[in-house]
Order: sequence, then structure tokens, then C-alpha cells
Amino acid sequence: MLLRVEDLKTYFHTRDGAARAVDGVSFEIDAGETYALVGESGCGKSVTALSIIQLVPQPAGHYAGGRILYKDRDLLRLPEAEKRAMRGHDISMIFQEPMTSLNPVFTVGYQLMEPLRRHQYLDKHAARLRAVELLGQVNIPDPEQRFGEYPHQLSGGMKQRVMIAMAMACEPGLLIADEPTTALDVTIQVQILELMKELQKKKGTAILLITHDLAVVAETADRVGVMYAGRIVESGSRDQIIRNPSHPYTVKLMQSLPRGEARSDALQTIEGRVPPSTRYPAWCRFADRCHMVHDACRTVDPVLLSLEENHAAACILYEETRPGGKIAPAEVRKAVPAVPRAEAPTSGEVLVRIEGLKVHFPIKKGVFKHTVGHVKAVDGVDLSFKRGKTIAVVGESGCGKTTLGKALLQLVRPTAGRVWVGDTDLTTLSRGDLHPFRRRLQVIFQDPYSALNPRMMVGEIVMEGMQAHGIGRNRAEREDRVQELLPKVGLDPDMIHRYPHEFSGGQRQRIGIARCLAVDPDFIVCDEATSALDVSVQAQIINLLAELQKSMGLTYLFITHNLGVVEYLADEVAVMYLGRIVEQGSTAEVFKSPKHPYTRALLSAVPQIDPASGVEKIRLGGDVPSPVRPPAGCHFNPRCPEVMPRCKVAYPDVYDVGGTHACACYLYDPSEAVGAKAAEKEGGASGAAGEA
Amino acid sequence: MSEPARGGIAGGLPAGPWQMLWRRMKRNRLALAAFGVVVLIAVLALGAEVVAPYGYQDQFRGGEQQAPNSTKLTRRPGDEAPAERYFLLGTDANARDVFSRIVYGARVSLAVGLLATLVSLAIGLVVGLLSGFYGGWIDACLMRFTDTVFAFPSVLLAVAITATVDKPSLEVVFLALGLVGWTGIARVVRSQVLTIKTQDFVVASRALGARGFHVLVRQIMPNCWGPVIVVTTLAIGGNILGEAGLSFLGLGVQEPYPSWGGMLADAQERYKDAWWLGVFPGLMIVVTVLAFNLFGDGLRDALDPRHTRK
Repeated sequence: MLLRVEDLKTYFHTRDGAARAVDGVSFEIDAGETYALVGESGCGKSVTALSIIQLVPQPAGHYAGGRILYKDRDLLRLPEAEKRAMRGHDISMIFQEPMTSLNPVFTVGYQLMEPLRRHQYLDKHAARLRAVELLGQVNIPDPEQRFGEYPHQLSGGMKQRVMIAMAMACEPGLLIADEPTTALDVTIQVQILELMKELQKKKGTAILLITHDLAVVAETADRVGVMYAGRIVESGSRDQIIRNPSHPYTVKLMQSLPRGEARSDALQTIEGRVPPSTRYPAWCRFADRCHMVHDACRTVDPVLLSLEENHAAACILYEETRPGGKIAPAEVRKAVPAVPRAEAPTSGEVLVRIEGLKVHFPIKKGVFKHTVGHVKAVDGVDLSFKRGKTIAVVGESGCGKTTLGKALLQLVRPTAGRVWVGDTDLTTLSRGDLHPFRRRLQVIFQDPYSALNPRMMVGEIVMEGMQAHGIGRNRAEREDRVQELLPKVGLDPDMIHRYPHEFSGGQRQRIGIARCLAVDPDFIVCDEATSALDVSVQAQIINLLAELQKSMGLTYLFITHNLGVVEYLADEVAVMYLGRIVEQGSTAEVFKSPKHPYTRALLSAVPQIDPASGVEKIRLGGDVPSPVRPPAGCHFNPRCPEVMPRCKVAYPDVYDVGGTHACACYLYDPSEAVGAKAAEKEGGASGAAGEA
Repeated sequence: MSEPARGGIAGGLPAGPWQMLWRRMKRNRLALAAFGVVVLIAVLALGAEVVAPYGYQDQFRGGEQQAPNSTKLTRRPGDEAPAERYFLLGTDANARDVFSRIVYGARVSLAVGLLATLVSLAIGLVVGLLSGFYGGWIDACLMRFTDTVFAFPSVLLAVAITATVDKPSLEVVFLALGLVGWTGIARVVRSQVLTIKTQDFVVASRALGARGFHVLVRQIMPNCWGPVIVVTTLAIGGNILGEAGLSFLGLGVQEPYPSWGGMLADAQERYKDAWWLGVFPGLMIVVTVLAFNLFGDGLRDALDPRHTRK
């Protein structure tokens, strides 16, 4: 036993009394294994991690009870000097945000040498040698040169590798990884997770993985603890949790994940929200949100009950003495009837069409601001949107998908190309002539916190567009309209006089949707509209969007990097890479038989909840190149596993690959001799990736 | 679909930005004390007629240059007979009560401090908002103009302005100080606008078809207030000092009306035999400016979310 946490209680002093962030958590981690703590935001998983490494902010936070035994020493009772010696040497940690966890004013090498000199007492020369060696171990190409570089010269994935190198520098017994890949793109996530696994195998390090992503857990963890409201509500091996989730919370969490195979049903949601940590009830904390709740749940505080070997859940359904007897976990899982998903009627009429759209941002330098180059954020995109349909644009960060949405809405004026709404080309309109079209084309943002003006009341926020377009004759009339609108998005009509900071993320996102709907749009750009939300809230918002699409005949452009949501929600998919669409088709076509090597790599990189799906990961080398100087020929050629000589010469045309499916890759050029070879090869590759 | 979600968090979140500000201010004892001093001086200024024992230009014949805490038989023009009078802070060479003159002088200092700052705020706000929001050549022109104004020594510029008029007065002084002191405010406003204008709610407002002016005034301006309030409070102290300086040079409010700076100027010829003429007005300037600065500092800490303490 390497680490044993016993009944840990970490509380914070607040004005409203003690916030019980971690409230009686126990678990054990063996040497060399990966233990995952999974849960939604605010459930106490990060505070658990900080407690272990003894970095809970003082004096607000304090340990109200319990023990943390690392190799039989109680960390809570160590003197401060010994705690410092332990951090980085025995236990080390990597954080979510690689951008801010390295100090920007020191070189990578200097920061890497620091723990070596401090904990292993190496002299400068020895530390330098070891640091370069470590950089090599985390697969950083050209470590000698990288040693002398500053953090801003490295990409996000590269920084996370450096963080891992620093954390592993002293070969700690335990590595705490707090959402290590959440800020990274999927193709980079695969690299990082594999690197962690590889180092773990080599050094025998135990990993405590903190994450909200059940699929990451399914792919990497040995054992899992599911946290809710400061407690572990279910624990077991990975297979037990993934295949036999037993606590109603775990069950609902799994069912609210959007998945392609469940397209015909509405997503399962968890109603309500986590109770504030200052007022946990004396009974089951999940009772108010539980679909299996009954009177007895509000009388006892459940403890973890063993279901089978190593698998336990804190729910009185599994209590022997329960009136009506103990229940089988399978009952909990099937207790929720599937609701068919709302489908919009479609007329096939094209509502919006974009042609050859380009957005180039000039890069200016010098006193006289002469243009030295262009960032080709969007570089020739054609798409057409049929009324009542959803087109998803997917791609990794920096591929230009957000700029595409803004250019469509004329929030950024395109450099070239056309945006047709009916017979009107928006790109030729003046500001004034554009005004009536603003009403028809709307946008929902990713971050529900920055999307609402903190100084305006909800009513004013929703009314703003109505005022701009003269909807409603006076304030009273507009207010009536807002009152009607709020219930449609699942909010109370009497909320209009409250300020945004009083609402949760999900509720704010609903306010943002109400703001759009207030002006009766036909077309909404959803820019990562669900990416900042917890899984259960994400499911509510997706259901709401689907329902509104049906009742109001809305058309969506769904911009996202979350492929699970796309597979569930979208009718058509366009895959973007460095400003261009590389593959396009119906959702089924693209997901079942991806053609472009980039699409295949992207789909295979998405972590799968079912570990037996057997998809072989395609590992892409390197990072997305800069859109300032994209590689000559096909932009993907430096990372492409199937690169051919002509790929480096000219950008491929778009080739039809059957049905509505098209792909910009020479593999599908009918005049190309390798075409036949590619088709044959693609048969094998897509067979595997098709399950994704 | 879910049933309508209940709004708000039952507890844990503050009722509004003002209550939160007050709650945080309360924890900073020094800033709170400074605020108390500011209020006290404001009371002195507003209630001068009541607080001051004598008028600011009353001359007490027979009581020239009396030391503090003295009592003297004096006669005021219009008095039928001399009377015993007490002078808390002494009298000046013209036999005027120093305490009364300091109390009336608080009016000048506060009025100039506040009005000059108001002028600076108005100019700084307009320049900062336009510069930050429209960018491009408007920004370039306005900011170069701001740099130019900033490059002049501000007191010298104010001296130049006041020297051009025949007879300096309160209005001239605060306009002069206001016209040279807005550069800092303009820069703070501009930097705030630059960060806020990229936020999603501003983009959303534009996507809804809101006009530029509406976006600027309704969406952006209200979110600038925090830092602006702070630089403004700090500017008040600076302007009080500026007024004292101008009065010291004889370019401020004219005799017989008292101002702290003017009193200091009078005192410099007699500092050897009448120390109290300079010390007390000087102390008032120090205390007032310090109070405004400490209050501004406290306000900045209270408004800065990074200073949140649980």
C-alpha cells in the first residue's frame, strides 16, 4: 500500500459557515497503479488532490479530520520542512493548464533543473545532463535545443510534456495528474496519456488521475472512485464502474454522455444541481436529483456498501434491511425509460450558403505597420445549410472554426467569398443594410460567464435585441415577451430582475439562448455551446437545443471539438484543418467510414467509454502547424501517415467519395495510380475506425 | 425536457456588487479610517459657518500673531467694546483666527479636489472610451495627444493656464488642474475597454444588431467603473496638492478668501517667529491627501478580485 487516505475532511471557512469541500473520503492506491477520481465540477476532487500534496490554501482551508498515509507516514502531521522535502520528491503533481504552470521568465531547462538540484543535490553540470535526458524521455524532439528555450516558444502539448518531465524528475512514488489533458486537443491528448502510461510502466509510479471525462477514465484507470458532493459515492475497478455502474448518480452520468448509437433518444439528464457545500443535508446528498429516490433516502446518510469484490456504492437501495429488500444494480440502470429525441421537420430549402469564404488577418510589424504576412484563419470554405438541419464543423484548436462562424455572421468581415442568405450576399451589405439580417442570424457562445454582461439584469439582456429591432411597442410589451420566452428555455419567468452572477453555468447558457430566441432567428451559430458545461448540464442544453430546433424550425451551425456531441446531434459534418475543410458528408458517412487520414486520426484519438471497442489509435506526430505559413501542398502532409510525393506540391482538389461524402485528399483521385491501393487500405482502416 | 430550473444559489453568493464592496472595505481598517477622515473634512467644509468660531476675514485688533491656545482681549471692526477671545490655533499677522481660516480653507481644497477631478474624469472617460472602442487612427491620434499632454510637467502647465487669465479664481484653478490631470484616467479607461470589448457579451450585443454607441455606453462603460473609481479617488489627493501649489505661488484663490496653499505662502516669511502659521495648514494638506490616497488604495484592493480572502 503506497497511499491510504482515511476519512479525509478538508473544510474551508466561508461567510456562510464551513464549506465541506472534501467530507469523509477514503481510498487506497498501490504502487504502480492508476486510480481515477471522477466527478463533475465542485465535487471536491481537486481539493482531495491538493490535500494529499498538502497545498490546500491556508488559512481558509483546514483539515477537519482523517489521515493521509504515504508509506505509513501521516502527511497531515508532518512538520512544514518535511512536507516541502516530500513535494516533488515523493509526490508530485501536474496541472490542467500547461500555459500557466510554467514560469514564463525562466528557460525550460532552468525550471527542470530546479527539482533535481533541490531534491537530489545534483551540481549544475549533472543537473543539466539529467534535464536533457528527461526531456528526451518525454519524447521532446531535439532536447538539447529545447533546454534553452522559454515556455512561450513551446506548443501546449510540448509544455505539458515538460510539466511531466518536471514531475517525474525525481522519480516520485505518486504522481497526481489534475485534468492533465483537458486543455489539450484530442490528438495531443492521446500522446500525453500514452506517455504517462509508458513512464508509469518504466518507473513503477502510481498515478492519481483527477478528471471529469469518463472516457479518459475508461482508457487509463485501473480503479475508479466516483465523487459527488465531497464524498466517494461509488468505487470499484474500471470494468466494474464502466460496465456495471450501480450508484444512481454514476448510472445517470454514463447515460447522459452523448453517443452516436443513441441518436434516436433524448439524452438522459440529471435534474437540479449539486447542493452548496455549506449546506449538505444530513441524509443522502443526491436524493433531490435521484430518479430512484423514495422516502427512506431522506432519513439516512448512506455509507459505502459492498456489492461484489472491490465494488461498493453508497446508496440505501443496496441495504439488506431496506423495506422491500435489496435491489439489483441492473434495476437502477434500466429504470429510466428512453424518450424519443425531437426531430425537426425539414423542407430541404437552403437557408444560408457560403462560397469560397476567406478570412485573412494581416500581421503588421514595425513603426509604419507594414503587412509582413497573413494569418489564413479561414482559407476558402464552401458550405450550405438546409433549413431545420444541423451542420457541425469540427477540428482542433486553431483550425479556424470559430472565425468561420464569426465571418458567416459578419462579425468579422471576410477577406473574400460570399455569404448568401436567400438572394442576398451579406458580404456586400453596408452596416445599416445588414441590420435586418442580424435578427435572422444569431450566436450562442462557449463561456457562459463572459457571454452575459455582469452589470445588466436578465430581463435587460434578453430584451436588448428586441429593442435594437423594434420588436414590441414598449417596455411592458417586451417584458411580457421575455416572460413568455423564459419558460421555453427552462427558466422561471420571475428571474428577469436578477443579475447573471446569481445563476449557474447551465442557467446562464439558457439565458444566452433566450437572448437569441427573443429576436426570432432562423439560424444559430453554436460556438462550442456545451463545451464549458458539466456532462449532466451539457445533456440538458443539448436536449433543449434539439427541442427548440423542432418547435421553431431552427438551423444550427454547431462548432465544436467534442466529437461525441457531433455524432449525437449533427446531420452533417465538416472536418476543418488549417482553415480548409478536408472532409465533408453526412454524420453517418463521416463517422462510419472516415476517408481523410486526418479525420481517421481524429476519430481514433477520441477516448472510448467502451475499452473493448478495439480501435487502434493513430498517433499523429507533431503539432498543428502555424496558419501563417501553412506547409506547401496539402497542409496535412507533414503529419500524414500516408503522404505521397505529390502531396507536397499542390493542394488536392475535393473528390467525391460516394453519396454526399467528399474529401480533399489525393488518395481518392480517380486518375491516381495509388487510388486503388488507397481504397483497399481504407477498407481495413475504416473498418476499425468505423466503430468509433 | 427539464422542468424550469429554480434560479439562483440559495446561499453563498453576495447580494450585489455594492454590498460586496462594502463588506470587503470593512475588513481594511486603515482604508476605513481614511474614509472617516475624508467624511470629517467634508463635514468641516460644508458646515464651516457652524464649525468655525469666527469669520475667515475677521480681524481682531490687538491680537496680531498670537500663539496657539491663547486668549487675548481684542476688538473686531464693528465691535462696541474689546472682548476676551480664545484662539485655538493662534492668529496670523493680520490678526485673523487660523483655525477659522483652516476650516474655510477646507472648502477650497475639497471643491478644487473634487471639481478638478470631475473635469479630468469627464475628459479621460470620453478620450479613453473612444480611443479603446474605435481603435485605428482615432486611437492613434487620441493617444498621441494624451502622451503630449502627459509629457508636460502638469503643475507647470496649470501655472501657464492660470497665468493667462487676469484674475485667478476657484473656477480657473479647478479647470486648469482638470485640463492637465486626465491622462492617467484616459489610459486606464482605454485599457479596460480593450479587454472588455473582446468579451462574448459585447460580441453578442453586436450580433443582435446593437449600434456602436449603445454597445459602448450600455455594455462596455458600466464594466469599466472599478479601476476608474480607484484612479479617480487617487486623483483627488493629487489635485488638492496641485491647488495648494498654485495658491502657494499666488495663482490660486485670492485673498482674503483662505486656502491652505495660500496660508502656507503667507507663513514662509514668518516661520521663525510664528511656526503655527505654516504647520497647521501644512498638516491639513498632508492628512487630507493621505486620507484620499489610503481610501483609494483600500478601494482598489476591495475591487480587485485577486484580493478575495475567504
